[in-house]
Amino acid sequence: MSNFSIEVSGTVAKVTLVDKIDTTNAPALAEELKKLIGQNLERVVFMANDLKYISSAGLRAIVFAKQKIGQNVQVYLIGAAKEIHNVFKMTGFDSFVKIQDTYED
Amino acid sequence: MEKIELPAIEENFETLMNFLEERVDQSGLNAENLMLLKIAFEEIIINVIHYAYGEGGGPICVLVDFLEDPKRLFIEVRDHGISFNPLERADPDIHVPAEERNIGGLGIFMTKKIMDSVTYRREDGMNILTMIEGITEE
Repeated sequence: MSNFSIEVSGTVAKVTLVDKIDTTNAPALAEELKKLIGQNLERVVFMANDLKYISSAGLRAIVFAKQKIGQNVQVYLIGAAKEIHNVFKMTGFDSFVKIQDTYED
Repeated sequence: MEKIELPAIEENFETLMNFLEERVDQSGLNAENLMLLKIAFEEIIINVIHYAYGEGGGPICVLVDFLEDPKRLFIEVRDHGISFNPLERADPDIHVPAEERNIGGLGIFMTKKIMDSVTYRREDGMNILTMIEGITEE
């Protein structure tokens, strides 16, 4: 089973992350995110309710989403546990990722 | 002190992670510190797997121990590859806008932030990276 799934609806891509995003599966995630380039997306929403672990490999995939998918894409991180939230703070990712408990379409 | 030594290849990544997990999961570290510790360890072993050796390959050795007074976890990662001190790499600027983010160096930066101490030495033709993390009794 894959640790992520991507669902695009209109200008929003919802990326559900489950369990671990690490060096073994982050390259595949980045590959899938690449397919979102040129789709005129406005938001990439990472659903992290069931995410328990993310290493720098996973963070690289997320910064890739911000840098490559579109000029004005807003990246969200939704429902992340405190320790995941802290990883985003530690690396300064909270400066460009909107971190929220819930997401309303 | 417990030790594992394996060829430094991606196929052994999970085995190395499991070796650490099995030893630290009951160590008294809380869930957040456990996750951070695993991140730091992943960054170090993946560095060795990706960069220590050329085509010939070589081993990675991991040592785990618990030290007393004060209680702390000791992790050492050794390889026989080219001399390389990952701690010398400049920290990424985490305050620049996302568009200008250089995504290299983030893993080592996190490792340094997470662990109480990270030190490197070159000894007997080995790169030896030592990480120490204090364990506070809850």
